[in-house]
Formats: sequence, structure tokens, C-alpha cells
Amino acid sequence: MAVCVAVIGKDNSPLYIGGVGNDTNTDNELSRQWLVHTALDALEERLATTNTNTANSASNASRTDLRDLYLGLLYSTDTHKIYGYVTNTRIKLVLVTSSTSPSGSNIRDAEVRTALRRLHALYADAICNPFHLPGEQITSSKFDRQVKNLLLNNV
Amino acid sequence: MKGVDSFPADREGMTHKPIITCAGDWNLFCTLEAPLVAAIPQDSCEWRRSYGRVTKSVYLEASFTKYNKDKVQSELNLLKRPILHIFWTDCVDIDYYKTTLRDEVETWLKQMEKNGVTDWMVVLVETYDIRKANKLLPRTTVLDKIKADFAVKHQEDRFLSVINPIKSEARSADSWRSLVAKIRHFVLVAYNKALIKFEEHMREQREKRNDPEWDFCSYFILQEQLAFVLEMLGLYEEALVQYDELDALFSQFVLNSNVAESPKWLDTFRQPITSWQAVRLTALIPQHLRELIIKKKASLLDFRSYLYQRQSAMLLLMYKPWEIASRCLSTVHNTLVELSLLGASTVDGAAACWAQLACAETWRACDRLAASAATNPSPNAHGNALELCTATQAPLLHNAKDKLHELGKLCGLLPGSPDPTSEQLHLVVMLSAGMGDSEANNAQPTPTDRLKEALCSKTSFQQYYLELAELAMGTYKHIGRLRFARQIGRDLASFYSELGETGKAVLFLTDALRSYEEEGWMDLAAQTRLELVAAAKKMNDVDRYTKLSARIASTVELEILVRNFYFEEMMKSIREGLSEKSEPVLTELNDCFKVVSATILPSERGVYITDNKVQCCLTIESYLPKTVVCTRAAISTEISKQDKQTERRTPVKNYKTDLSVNGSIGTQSYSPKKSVGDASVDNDPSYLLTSIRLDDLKPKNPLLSPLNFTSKLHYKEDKSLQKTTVECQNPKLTLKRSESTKYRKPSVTVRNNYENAFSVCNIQLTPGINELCLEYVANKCGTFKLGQISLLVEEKLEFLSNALITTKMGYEVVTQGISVVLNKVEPKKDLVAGLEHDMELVVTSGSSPILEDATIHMKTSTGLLLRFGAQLSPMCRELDVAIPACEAFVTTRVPLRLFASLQPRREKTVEHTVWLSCPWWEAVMEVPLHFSPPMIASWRLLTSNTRKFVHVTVKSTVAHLIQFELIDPKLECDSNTTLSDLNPKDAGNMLVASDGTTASFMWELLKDPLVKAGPMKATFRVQYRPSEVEGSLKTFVCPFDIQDYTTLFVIRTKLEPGKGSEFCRASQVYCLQLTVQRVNETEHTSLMYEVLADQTMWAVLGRTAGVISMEAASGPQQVSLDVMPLVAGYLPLPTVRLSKYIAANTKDPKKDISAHPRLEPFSPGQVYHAGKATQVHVLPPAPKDHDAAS
Repeated sequence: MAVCVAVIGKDNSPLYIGGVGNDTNTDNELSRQWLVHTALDALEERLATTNTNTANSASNASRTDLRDLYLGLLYSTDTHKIYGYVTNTRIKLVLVTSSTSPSGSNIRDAEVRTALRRLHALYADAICNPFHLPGEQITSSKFDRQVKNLLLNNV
Repeated sequence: MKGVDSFPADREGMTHKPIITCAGDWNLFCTLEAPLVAAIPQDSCEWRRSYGRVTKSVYLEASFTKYNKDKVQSELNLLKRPILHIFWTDCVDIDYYKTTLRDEVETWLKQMEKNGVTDWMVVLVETYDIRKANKLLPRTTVLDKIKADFAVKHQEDRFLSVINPIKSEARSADSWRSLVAKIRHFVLVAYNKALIKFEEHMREQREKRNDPEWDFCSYFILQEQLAFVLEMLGLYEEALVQYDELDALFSQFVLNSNVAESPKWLDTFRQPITSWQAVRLTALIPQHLRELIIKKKASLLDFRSYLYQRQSAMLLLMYKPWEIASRCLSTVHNTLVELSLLGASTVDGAAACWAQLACAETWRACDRLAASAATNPSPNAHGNALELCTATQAPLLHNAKDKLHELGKLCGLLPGSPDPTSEQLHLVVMLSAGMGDSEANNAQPTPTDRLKEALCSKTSFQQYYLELAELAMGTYKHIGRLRFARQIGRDLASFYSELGETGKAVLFLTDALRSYEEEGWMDLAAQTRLELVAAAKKMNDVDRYTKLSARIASTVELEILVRNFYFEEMMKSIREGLSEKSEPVLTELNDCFKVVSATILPSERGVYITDNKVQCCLTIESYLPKTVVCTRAAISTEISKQDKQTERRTPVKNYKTDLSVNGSIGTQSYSPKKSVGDASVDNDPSYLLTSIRLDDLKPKNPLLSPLNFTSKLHYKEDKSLQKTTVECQNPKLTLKRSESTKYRKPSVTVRNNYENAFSVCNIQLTPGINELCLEYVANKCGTFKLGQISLLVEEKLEFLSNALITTKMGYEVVTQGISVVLNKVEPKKDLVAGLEHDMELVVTSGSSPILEDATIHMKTSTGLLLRFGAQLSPMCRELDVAIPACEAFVTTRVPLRLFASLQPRREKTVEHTVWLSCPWWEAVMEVPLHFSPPMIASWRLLTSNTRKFVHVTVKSTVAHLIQFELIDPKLECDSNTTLSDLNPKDAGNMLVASDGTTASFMWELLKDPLVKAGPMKATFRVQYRPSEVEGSLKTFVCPFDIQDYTTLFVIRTKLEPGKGSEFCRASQVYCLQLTVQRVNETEHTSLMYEVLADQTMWAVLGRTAGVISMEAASGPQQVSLDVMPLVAGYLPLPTVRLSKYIAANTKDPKKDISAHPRLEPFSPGQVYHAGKATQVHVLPPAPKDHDAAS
């Protein structure tokens, strides 16, 4: 089960951070933010290497994979695994799973990929709101509800 | 050389080799073994595999054993089982073959067949015989015999003869090479078969994995054989796949055990863990662990260690040390999860110990490998191995550091914790024991040694911890993972903080805080600030503590309780900590407040004048949770442009008042600052704003600007539609790279000079929006810009903001000098010379008051007189006007009367000047005044034959309506001329007015005709007074000269009608009689006449001009001309012009330069034209018929 997802803007500032879990006190929410924040390092590293690779060998067969916005596992800690996804406009989506919970430890890569794709779709819906200013934090309660739903359904 | 175990360990990796058995002549083989073993690995062989697997090029090695028919290995044991069987013989004698060898071979082959072995070879070793080779047709050899006896189809190539290389090396090369190749080939063919069979078996076993009796350990050992074989063949990648499959299988079992029923074999791994030895990253197989697995006594850590070591071994052989490092972490993480899932009981900290050692060991190994790869790059090694290793090492170090911290916590080794209890000491002993002994032959301490040492004492722990942390942080920074580095920095900060080195902690925290703020991670920044404030408290840094408390109290992300707490802390710290400080503590305003807008209120007068208040309204949003008292709010000002005059009481020099008294525009509207103001708005590039909302200053979000999209239809050549596109016209606008506004480190706030500042004191700043009105009394002229904003809270904490500095907000202060104006009381009326006018001197004190009594000295030009209006003092040309002291912007009016005397001149205007000398100006002010004369007189001379009349007309040219009564007109002449007054005596006073009413007067010149009249001076005089005002009469005088007024000639013209008719008719010729008579003495005797007829009425026949001579004695001259009237009606007679004719004087060129005759006109009064207005009645021409008839 994913415990947290985050939408991070082009300038690496958080646009939305939502988490679920039995632990609702601020301490854990904060610790998730640290995880998401450091994940940016790994994410940017991944993006940088992808970019240089594309520049170097465009003919490479594995380049077709680059179309994939899903970046896979960024890094893991004792308790959590952090997955990344980046949209074409460099909006970063980060998903954190807990490896201590039974459902979280058994999660498959494909499930994470699907979850992040759905999150991307939700994000796209949310910013289609004409009253949403691009680059501002996402405050839509609908989006929040949908994301929470996504986190829970992903069991 | 025969056994696996005896093989030297330094040949890394190859712990197993394909086994080849040898039957037949063992002694013969022994001579050949050494070259054979050496030759086999020398070249690669292509391995073609079934099932479409990739063909690989493989290097083989081999170990040979003597064939033992009793020792038959199961074909499922891939390693111990011989893969190829060779029968060696050097028999050349056919007879011997037939008697003994044949049977031997047969038995051997039968045994082969019995065991189902198809992988065998028969090798006949021959000695090279030159004689034999020379024979053309060799006899049947032993080999042929063997082939004939045993070979079935497709097996002929398994029989081979080779020339003994020992005996004749030179000749044997070819045959030897083909032997080696054959051996390689058959080994691979054999393996192919064996592996297919083995894999099938393995699959079967795996399918049974859900059986209760199935055992993972056995299966593990089974599948590992495959890995070994693949490793043996040099296919490390595929070998690794085997291990990875096993790894995944195991993980899945453990994970499933959590949700489903756990299989029995898993209990093996639930046994208590007693050993957590460090993993050793070598290519060697850790046999003791393998034994444990085989015996099913391996603990989870043992198993995981073994698996990880094998995987690492494969990766090492593939020269991929970085891969090992990246796998290490996931292995450690997985293992820890599995450990908790399985619930194997162990000492607290054992897992952490193992993980720490695994990470440290892996790091050490990678470091060593990468270094060696970098120094002597082998062809296989990755070029940037070092780089790749570094990238993966950082997380290892990070984890090692974390685990060490965990251990330190368990064992009470962290700084700041009390001395370890006996339980904790016991734990250290337990943990050290579990780690086992490290390799003894190491010069450098191994990670195990280091860990053991670190657990022994606080200082060594601290040293090791800091070493790891610094290394991890450095490595992270090196690979560009700054966020990770900062996270370690935070860990270090708390460690240092516990150590008591708060200064170091603050450095790390400040660094981290900046990066969080930079990227907008407000929650993280808030958290870091909480840590910083704790550090400040510990350091007893009151300034920092107060500032941070204020900042935290204003952080909306935090809970209100926390904010309130720190608000109180801030207040307390201001009261207690800062009370003895003389200077307030400076801090950033934007931390706790937000400047929303600023407006400079417009002044009542339109401009800001010295010594007056300028007001500025500031809207500030307070983020503090409670109301604070702002002791003083201020905005500093900066001079952006200063006017030339610096002294505020010095008015404008060389200040020339353009006092056009004629102008009807009020002179009061004159204001020096207005002109300055207008000019500056238009021309000054530093145009000042007076009101600003700071939100408006933000650059516009380019994403919000509309995109121009157009749809386009593209057609093919044949006019069919090719495509439809939607195109963006201005993509660059949106796609433009926005300049990354990097977070600027807030410069150390420097307090501006607040000597000249807007300020307001003692106001309450409530949470939310506050409106402040700040005031400033401007005391200098110039243009000022708003500078820094300062909010002094509770006397000791001063918030500064430079938000307004870049906004060009400002105001302009001017000084309004004293203005002195000479005004008409009735501005619409012109000044008229000869009349007394009411004037006033208007003195307006400007922005500064007139302090003492001042005197203005007035002086007029000649002919202009003035006096005070109130008292009836005599008029004079100089006057001293006393101006009383007065406040700013007070106007003093002094009434004056002004009189310009009327000069007997006939000019349209009269110019006068008043000079004002004021005590506050150095220069004298000049006021030009324009007067008009009250009336103008004009005259004409009229003639009737020899009588002369003078006609005088008086009119007024004053612009406004004014009437004068004219009394007693007089004309005076000099010399002997007398005048006869022809004006009516009883007509009363004449009126002349500026609306066009004129007055006319007439006199006749009575001249003695005998006296030759010379030039004559005449003066017209009349008394006048404005009709509506009763007042004294004034005299208007107009002198004029009269010349050449005597009549000299009289001209008469006469038109005679034709004979016998009374009337003239048109188109008939008549005679015009012209008579010129001299009536007075004159020197002009030669005259020229010209008949000037209107050509539409008259046609003059013949000469129209002629010269006549009027000698003194002669009478009137007569000239006749033929003229013809052209039209009918009353026609005026043609006029005649008489001129002086001066003939060409050739005799005396001095007197008259001109060689031609010329004409000179007479003065108007000298020639009297008697018939000037005469008309002739002309009838229409007579009808022709009538003429003809008569």
C-alpha cells in the first residue's frame, strides 16, 4: 500500500503532498516529506542520465522505453520504497510505499506504474480547472479525495 | 591436478571444472595430460545450444580423472559427474588390437552404453613414422579397424588419431589442434545434453514447491549446480540469473508466509540467529555457509549472506562492482523486512550489526575494486567504473552510518546519553561475539574490527560515526545529491548538538534551511527552524533566539499552539534578554510581515512643500498570532535628486516674474513649482510612483497569457485535403525558458539612515491586515525615494525590509518662494494713460513665513506716478511699502493708485516700468506696464477753390468701453494765420467713446492771400473727462504741421454737346475743353496734364497727355480733346491730373542727374479741380434707321 504521493513542480517545490495511513500525526507526515524531498535527488539524477543517453544513442533499441514516464524505484530505505514518475512538462510524481506493511512489501512494479499513471491523469484533470493557476499548489478537495482513494484502492 | 579441491584458489572463480575420464592406456595419457590441460582453455569454442538460446563463445577448462567403472555418478549431479569419457591407446599393431585391445574397447563401450552415456571419444596416439607417410596407399590402420568395429552412423568423428606431440612435436601440431578442438566440442555437446536434462528435472522440482514435503534448501543446492556449471563455462550473467531466481523465490515465500500458511521448511529460517558475520566479497564460495544450507541449519542471515556473496561473486567476475553496491542496499532492506516477517529471535541490534557490516564491507570492496580498475584498466572493466562506484557508494555509507547510529543508541554510546548500563555493556559483548573474527591477515582494520572498536567506547564510536557521516556527505555532494547530503547534515547537526558543539550544528541546519526555503518546502523549513531555535537556546544566543521565535510564531504551516508558544518566547526574550541592549536586534521583515501596499497621499496643494507633512499609507499583513505593539514604524527616504538650492529659506534666485498686467489671465495662478512638476513628469526617466501594490510587481505568469491558435487546412496538388492542423502562432512566448530565479541569500540586513523618515509611533499590529499612516515633515527640497521599511516591535526587535527600494516610489518636495505681484484691481480694464488707476501690490508668503517686517521699495519710470490708495498723499515716483510679518501662505494686499501722465504723442501704447526691490531678493524685480492713450486725434485739410478748412476727428482706441466728454475744443496756429471757428457754439459737449463714437471739429484757415504761405504749426486742444466719473478736466493735446496748403492751379473741364443738340449721345465724338488757371505765385511753370478716363465709359481720341507752360503773365491755358462716351447714363467727366514737369536738363548734369524728363506730383491742396464731381448726361446712341431716314 502506498502511504504517500506527492506532486512536485518544475522548480522542485511541492504542489501537493498527500498521505494516508494509520499514523496521522504530524511526525510521520513530516518524515514522509523528507523521503519525498530526498527522492528528488534520485529523480533528477535519473532524468539527467536519461537525457544524456538520448543525446548519445538515439538509435538504441532501449530508447523506446524512454517514452515511458515511469522512472521506477528511485531508492529505498529500511521502511519505505520510493517510486518516481515524471510528466513531459517536468512535473514530478512521487509515490512512497511502506515495506513494513504486508501489502506494501508485496507491491509489484506494474501496480506502482498503474497507480502513478492514474495519478498523472488525476493531476491533469485537476489543473484543467480554469481557476487553477499553473505552478500554484493544488488545493482542490476533489483531487485530494481522489488521491486518497487511489492510495487506498491500490492495496 | 586431479581434484577440485586441490586447485589453487587464486584462479578466481573456477572452483569447478568439467570432468573428463580416461580409460585405456593410463600411462600414455599421463604423458599427454599436461599439454592437454594447458591447451584446452587457450581458445574459445562456439557453444550452440538448443531451444534457440543464444550461441555463446565459451572458454573451457578441464580436469581429467581415471575412468572407474564402479563409480557411476547420477546424471543429476552436474558437478561431480564426468561429462566426457575418452579411451586412449597407442596401439599400432593390428594383431595386438585383435587379440586384446578390441575386447577392452568393447567392454568400455558396453559400460558406456549401459550408463546411457553417449559422450565418449576414442583416441589413438600414433608416433610419426616417415616411412609410413611416404607410402602411397597406407594399409588399414588400427583406427580404421576400430571404426569398422564400433562406429555406428554419425559417430565416426568420435574416433580420432593423434600424432604424439611428445615424440615428434613438429609434425603433430595439426592433429593435436584438431584433438583439442574435438574435445572442446564434445564437452559442450555433452553439457548441452546434460543441461537440458537437468533443467527439466529442476523444473519438475520447482513445480512441487507447494508440496508440504518440498524443501527450499535442497532445491537451492540443486539449482545452484546449474549456476556453478554456467559459472564454470564463464557464463556469469546466466549464473547470476539462477541466483536471482532463487532470491526471488525465497523472497516470495517469505512474503507469502505473512499472508498465507507458511511452509514447514521455512521454520529453518526462524531459528534464533547467533551469528552475524560480515559478508566477504570474494569469488570464493563460502563453504561453511553452504554446508549450513545443505544441512538445513542456516539462519536467515546465513542464507542471505551466502546468496549475496554468490551474487557479488558473479558480478565481480563480470567486472561490475557498482552493481554489487546497488544490490547491497536492496538485499539489506529485504533481509531486514524478512527478518521481521519471519520473527527469528535474536539479540537486539544483531540485524543492525549485520546490515552495517554488509554495507561497510561492500563499500570497502567496491572502493578497492574501483581504485584498481582505475589504476590499471583491464579491457573488460567499465571505463567509468570509479564514477559508477562512487555514485552507488554514497547510499551505502549513508546506511552504514544510520545503522551505526542505531547501534549506538542501543548500546548507549550516543553523546549526551548517560553511561552505558550493565545490560548495554552485555549487549556489546553479545554483538561483538556474533560478528565473529575477522580475517587475520589484514593490514588494515576490517569493517568488523572497526565496528567492534566503535562499540567499545564513546569516543571511538563518535569517531567512526563522524567519519562515516562526513564521508557519506562528501560522496553525496560529489555525485550531486545535495538533498541527501543535507539530510545527513541534519543528522550530524543533531549529533553535534548532543555533543555540545552547537555552533557546528547551526552551520548544517542553516545550510539545510536555506535549501528548503529555496525550493518552497515550507514544512521542512519550519521543522528545521524549530531545530535551529533549540540550538540557539542552547547556545544562549538571545538575538538569534528572538528572531527565530518571531519567525516560527509567524509560520502558518505550524500548529497554533507551537506558534503561540514561540510568540510568548519571543516576548519573554525581548523583555528579559534584550532589555539591557541599547540597540535593537535587526531582522528580516518579510519573515513575519508582508508589505501589501504603500501609497503616498496626495498633498492638498498638489505638491509637497517644505515644512509640510507628507503622508504615506502602508498596508502591512502581520503573520504573528497575536497583537504586538509597534513602537515605531518608519520608512527611510533617500534623495534621488536634489534641487540646486540647498538652503530651504532661499527662494528662487533670478526669479523674473512675468507680470503682464494687460493679460486677463490671473497672475495668481503663477506657481513656480507647477512648471517644475510638469516638466519632471514628462521628461524625467526616474518617474516616481506614488502608490503601489507589491503583488502587482511580480512578473506576469507567462502561462496565463493566451495562445494564438489557428486551424489550417493543407491541400495536396490535386486540391484534395492533405491534412488539417492546429498551429500555435506564438509558441516561444509560452515555451520560453523562464529564468530560474535562484533564491537569493538574504543579505545581512543593513539598517538605513532613518534621520529623514516617515514614521508613526506606538501602534498596534493585529494579526492580519494593518493600515498604518506614516508622516514626515519635509524640510528639504528635492526628489525623494522611499527606502527601507522598519518596524520596531516592543522597542527591541526591529524588522527591516527593502521591498520598496526597487519600486521607484517617491515624492518631490518643493519650496514655494515669496511671490510679489502688482495687480490691477479691475483686471479686465486696460490701463489708460492720463487716468488714475487702482492697483494693488499682492505679497504672498510662500511655504515659509515672513518673519520680520519688510519694506518693498517701488520705483517708477518717468511719467508714471503712484501713491497709496487709501490716503490722499501726493503722487510721487518712489514709494516704500511696508509688509507686515505673516504666516506661510498668507497674502498681503496693499492698495495703490497709479497715474501715467499723457504725453502729447501719437503712439498707440505707452510703456512704463515699475521696479520693485524686495529685501529677500537680491535682484530688482521689473514689472513692465502697458498704457493706452485715452483718445487719438486725426486731421484733414480741405480745399474749396482757394479757401482752406481744417477737419479734426477724435476717436478712442481703448479696448474696454470708456466714454469721454470733450469740452472746449481749440485749434491754435502760429504765424499770422487766423482761424475761423466753424463749430456750433450751442451744441454742448461732444462725446467720444471706445465703441466707435467719434467727435469731429472744423476750422477755416483765414490766410492773407498776399502773403506767401510757409509751413504752419497747429495744435489741437480739448478738455476731457470720463463721462461717468465726476472729476477734474484734463487736457488732450495733439499737435500737427500743415504744409503746401496754398492753391496754385484751378482746373476746369467742360464737355460741349454737339451742335444743335442739348444732350450728348453715346458713341459720338465730342470736344472736351480743359482749362488750367494759375491762381497764385509759383515757380512751377512747366506742367503736364493727363486725362484719366474710365475706359469703360470714355474713349479718348488723340493724345491724353500733354505739357503746357504757364508763364506768369499768360492767362488760363486751354486744351481741347476729342472724347467719346461709350455708354449711356450720367457719366462722370474724365479726371485730369496735373504734375510738375521737369524737363531733361542736359546742360547742367550736376543739378539733375537724370537725362530724362520726369514728373513730380503736387500736394493735395495745391491743385483745385473745379469740375471733379461733374457728371454729363449721355443718351443712348441714336438709332441708325432713323439716321439713315433723316
